[in-house]
Amino acid sequence: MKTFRELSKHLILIILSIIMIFPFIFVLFGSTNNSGWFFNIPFKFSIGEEFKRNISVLVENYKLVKIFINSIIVSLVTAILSTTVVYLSSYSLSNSSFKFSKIANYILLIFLVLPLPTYLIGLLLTMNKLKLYSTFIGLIIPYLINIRMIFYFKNNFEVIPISTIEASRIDGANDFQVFSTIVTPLMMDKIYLSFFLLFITSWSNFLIPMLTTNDSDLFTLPILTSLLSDSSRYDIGLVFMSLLIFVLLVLIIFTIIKNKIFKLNYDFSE
Amino acid sequence: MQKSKLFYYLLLIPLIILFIIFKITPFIYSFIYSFLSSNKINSGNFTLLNYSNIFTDKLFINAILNSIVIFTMYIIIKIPLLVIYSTLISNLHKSKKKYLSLLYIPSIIGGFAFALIFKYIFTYDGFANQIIYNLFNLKINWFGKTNTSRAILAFSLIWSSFGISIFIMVNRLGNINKSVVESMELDGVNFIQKIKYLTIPYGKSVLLYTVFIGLIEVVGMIDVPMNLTSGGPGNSTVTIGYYIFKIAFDHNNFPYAATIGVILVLITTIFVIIYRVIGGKINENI
Repeated sequence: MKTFRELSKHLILIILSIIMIFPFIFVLFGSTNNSGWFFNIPFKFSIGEEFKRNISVLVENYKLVKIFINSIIVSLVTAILSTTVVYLSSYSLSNSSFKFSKIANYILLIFLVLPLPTYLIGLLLTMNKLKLYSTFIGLIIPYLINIRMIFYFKNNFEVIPISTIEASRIDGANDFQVFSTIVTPLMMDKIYLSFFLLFITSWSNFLIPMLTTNDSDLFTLPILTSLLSDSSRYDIGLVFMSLLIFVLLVLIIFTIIKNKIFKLNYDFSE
Repeated sequence: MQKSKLFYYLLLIPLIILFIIFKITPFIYSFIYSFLSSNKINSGNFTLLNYSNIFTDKLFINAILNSIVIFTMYIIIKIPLLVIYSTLISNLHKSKKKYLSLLYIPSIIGGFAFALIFKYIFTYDGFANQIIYNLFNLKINWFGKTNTSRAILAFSLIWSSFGISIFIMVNRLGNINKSVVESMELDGVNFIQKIKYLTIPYGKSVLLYTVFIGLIEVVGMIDVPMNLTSGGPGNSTVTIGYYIFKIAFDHNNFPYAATIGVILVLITTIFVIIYRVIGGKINENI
């Protein structure tokens, strides 16, 4: 009776997991087929033979290689710069004797909650004024602030025992030395995790880059994907091919950070 | 002491500069634009027309109603699933992490990807319909009817957010005192009782948070309706965020879009206040 219960529990969980993962499987199958496959009656859930064609069409007609490299570079640079900015600032915000940090906390919380459409127009106008449309920098610097990550680091700084820091102060270390030689080594693990998470965030950044980039030499993968599904030359195999590339990289990164992710705290409920 | 303060300010400089340019300035810009009569900041005159137009804008009311319907669908599906599955997972001894990481995967990919995938799974002759046809001998015109296309919109949101929610929930349930759980197990409580006496009382602040974040997500999404339905059929999936986008880019009316953005700030503020009030009450009762 007990084993039956256990089994049924697992069965229910496995069913949900399969349902949640199903879109990915669909992407995998879709990328190996042509448009006809999606509307075939009866539906054949099978690996097709169009994989090579889909890739070569994307490479030849849509500059896939260039777009892929663009995406990688943009995401890498964003992740590095963003981790730096977030890490540095969250250290000073975590310092409770620093009065500015309380006000800053409130402001950050407000901006964490406000959804993108509230400032979309203003952001586009600002980017236009700064001439960031269709530039490489424009794909990077507007997205460097990640408030979730600031709070993540801040929480982790706060649990570092004060005695560790004070001991080094007594030994004559100044603030910079405490930060660079005592605190930072303790945080390497978190820095590493945040780098990958920010990489994924930038990798899937879609809406504003799409609105602000007209130059096809600067396209990133999500922009290409969306354009493919919009275009009049309706080729769904191509859409799914670029989705597959998009998803695969995310999955690879996920397997790298899989074990670390359990230490993340997304709980803002209090 | 003065010197050490300086160090902390130095660390903050990059954040402050970026914050002023890409967060504060856009808000000020949006606010100024909401009082302009034309797209050009130099030639536009000061006007309050944008604000008074909102009250007679049927499409805006429609967008609010759509958001409410989609939000309701989202919550009705997600909260029971969340309660049931977090109870199931937190009661597992082994393989807890395996299921959690499997369920987490979809939520690291943005909603726009699911919108694109679902668009093709749910086409009229597509995969979903053919399965339904084989089972029940009927075909549903998913994107041709208002409520089914809203439901698929809600699905896309659930897919891209369920992982994080269950993650938080299981974490919270893992913090319950072990002796409470063990004594309950000794008493031989069944699954429903576990939900009633453990998951809901201990997880209710997480559930409330999920509802709150869901609200923000629904009013804030642009990419999901854009890729999935483009607002159709007949504006039935135009949410507030997407309406702002449409006004700006389909009707090329930036000032009015900015105005609705300002209204959305007010709406979000109301949500936050309600959330704080209810959240405060819930935490008192534990």
